[in-house]
Amino acid sequence: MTSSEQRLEEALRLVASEVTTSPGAYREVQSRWRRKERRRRLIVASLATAVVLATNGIALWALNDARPDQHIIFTDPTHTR
Amino acid sequence: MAPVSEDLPDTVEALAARDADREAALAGLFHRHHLELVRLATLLGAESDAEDVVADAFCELHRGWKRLRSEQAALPYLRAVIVNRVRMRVRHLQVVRKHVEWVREDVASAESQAMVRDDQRALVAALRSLPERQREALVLRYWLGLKEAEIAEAMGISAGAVKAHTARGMAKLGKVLEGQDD
Repeated sequence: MTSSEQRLEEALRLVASEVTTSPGAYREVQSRWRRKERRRRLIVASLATAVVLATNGIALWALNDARPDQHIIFTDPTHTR
Repeated sequence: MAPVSEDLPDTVEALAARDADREAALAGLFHRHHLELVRLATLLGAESDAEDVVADAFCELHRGWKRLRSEQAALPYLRAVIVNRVRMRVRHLQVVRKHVEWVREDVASAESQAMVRDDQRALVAALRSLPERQREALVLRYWLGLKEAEIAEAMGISAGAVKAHTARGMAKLGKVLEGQDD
């Protein structure tokens, strides 16, 4: 290692040694990642619920709009009477 | 080695056990490396946001834990996220500083830098004025003591590019050091 590299290494080490962290850092970070995880799960659950409600709504609308003698689920002639 | 809960089917108990394993692994990583990572973020130019940058990196690791190749990949992943986030922050600050009058914030307060000599402070200031890739390569090489391949992984570039950035950065700092010697 050259003297320039040694001087840079020493300067970086000294400056870095002056940096300290706050005592409650772990609790703060832990509560942050737990909050984000809760929010992520809530979003996933809300999206899943929205998809189920939307498909149910569409199905009910389609059934409601159909004439009683029309088969809207099985259109294959083999399934008709 | 993967924890036992990884092999279990997705039952409520298995998911809870996986969450507990992840929390325990993250707690261990945090206690072993948090200070070192905050110092890395500071040296890269995160200034007073260093702890916040590191906290965000841990949150990102928590979210992407399942995608890690192994637990050994967690620390390089954290370094890469920190390098990336500090780069984004420095770019954002450069834009802000073009529009508002800004008083320079040093790595630490003047009082706390009492132990750092003037020439060393000048050297670190010169380091911080280097282009971001050169600064990152030098900090990762000479402060963390990483190998070229590890630096390349953290910076998201090739090992050859790391070599080039380190050489160019050292050449520029060499001029500052020559000036100090005269």
